[in-house]
Amino acid sequence: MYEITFHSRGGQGAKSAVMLLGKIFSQLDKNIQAFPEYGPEREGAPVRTFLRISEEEINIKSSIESNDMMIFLDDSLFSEEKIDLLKENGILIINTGSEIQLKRKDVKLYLMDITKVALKIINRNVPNIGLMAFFPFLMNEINEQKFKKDLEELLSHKYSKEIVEKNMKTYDEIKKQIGEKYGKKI
Amino acid sequence: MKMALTGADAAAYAMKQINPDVLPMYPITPQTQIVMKFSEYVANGEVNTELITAESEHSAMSSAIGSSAAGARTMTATSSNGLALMHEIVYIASSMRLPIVMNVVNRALSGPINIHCDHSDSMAERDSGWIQIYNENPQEVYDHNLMAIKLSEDSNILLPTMVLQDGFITSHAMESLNVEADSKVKSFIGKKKYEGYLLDSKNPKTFGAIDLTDYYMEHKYQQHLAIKEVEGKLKTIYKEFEEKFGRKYNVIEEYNTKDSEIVFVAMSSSCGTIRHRINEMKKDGYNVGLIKVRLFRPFPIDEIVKALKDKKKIIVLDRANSPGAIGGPLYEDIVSATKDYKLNIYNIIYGLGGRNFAPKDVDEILLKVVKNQPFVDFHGVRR
Repeated sequence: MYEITFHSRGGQGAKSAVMLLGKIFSQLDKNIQAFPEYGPEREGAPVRTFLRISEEEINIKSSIESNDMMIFLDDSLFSEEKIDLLKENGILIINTGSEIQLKRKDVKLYLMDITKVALKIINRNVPNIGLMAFFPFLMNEINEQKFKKDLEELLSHKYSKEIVEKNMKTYDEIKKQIGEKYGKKI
Repeated sequence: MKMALTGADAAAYAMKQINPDVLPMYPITPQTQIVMKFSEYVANGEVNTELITAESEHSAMSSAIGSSAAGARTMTATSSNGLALMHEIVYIASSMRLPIVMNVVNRALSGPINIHCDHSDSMAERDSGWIQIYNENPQEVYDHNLMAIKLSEDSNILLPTMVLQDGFITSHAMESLNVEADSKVKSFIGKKKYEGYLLDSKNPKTFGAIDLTDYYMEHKYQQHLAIKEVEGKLKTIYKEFEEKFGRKYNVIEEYNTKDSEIVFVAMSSSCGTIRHRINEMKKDGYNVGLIKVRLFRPFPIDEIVKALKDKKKIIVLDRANSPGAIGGPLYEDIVSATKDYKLNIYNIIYGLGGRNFAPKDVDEILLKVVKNQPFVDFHGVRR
């Protein structure tokens, strides 16, 4: 079972992100479980969102306590004790413009200023679709072309053409920056 | 076909395939997602259901009764205080023998006000004469919506059914599930029989008339007899469902009970977490079992007794309290059902108002049970 926790603020689209990823992985014939932690519904409130992906049936129904991947969509929510819930050699993605050093040396750390790109293209701090470019980069079983196509199609069920285009432009820009910063082309 | 749906969306998708004649609705968290999604189906012309936007749950259930008595296949959905507001009318639906199917998304009753899951709302309706089926995940919710229609409308039953799922934990968590083709669903649920209802001018009938000392008790006795037929009928439907769709169900579900001396008895989503922990413990050489009670009303007494009578320690988990009673509602039924056997039955009141229930809670409860004589107590509460 592969387990991911998102830390974000209300309005950043983390819930939509896990639901979209859930649908995409479900189409890849995986068992999935995607759910947010419900609290006060207001923009800016810290919220955790969870995604489980598994070949086997998923029985557990509580929040994730041992993560393969942790994502912080807002760097002000990050503190090193929060990654106590990250497995050894786990993946950590932080949406930030700052340089962050970790005491833990086993963690695979990825830093990217997704918000800056989102603000430029969408004019709002909605980094969720930009972030998606990390998934085909980090997970070998994902075919990037199909992933992007599925993502675009799922978005167009809900949003106008203009919004979908802007989000996909953010995705492309982050994809480019991942290639530049972390070497591997997707 | 595989789909990824939340519990609420799974209920709405089943309702779309059932395409009921009438659906009176009133939104309430966390059920809102169901009627919101269903309204989309109506707006898109994917169903031809008459959608009634009522001004309260009391009116929604009253409308359901009106339409069902007229002969229409009727469904609705609610949660928590919405169900409590329906309470008066809920009893009328079952006593008029109307086969309404209602999705209930379990949420704590106020107060203090709370939107999260526990079973206090539906436990307050356990004596209403409705059939109650508790579901663990979106797959079970989907499947039982289809089966509930068949069960309620059976001419030997004619009783309304609540299809229950846990608020947020199930209703707002997306999972992969199998959904069936529209045509297969249609042939499985069959056409509603419209004979014997109000809109039959050649054979006029009276519904909901006054019934004093002369016949009230006979009518109550008929309800009592009818609900006794439910378990057998549901088992027949389960068999038919399995033949058609390949998924196997029973009124209770035993997991790893064969060689285990200690068993949990629980309902709905927590069963998943317990099963998860059982699988892990098995690897460490510990054998613990689980009995999931799916059909709570009517209570499947014989199956429960058969499953429990040889067990050393039985831990009954109640996600609702009955203040001042001996224990929670599930515990009391288990104790009554097994009264002829001297069993060690523990009762744990847990998860009220959505208090998290994690694998570590399974361990903590087990530890307390192993060390102590039977008790009734809260778990996971600050004291």
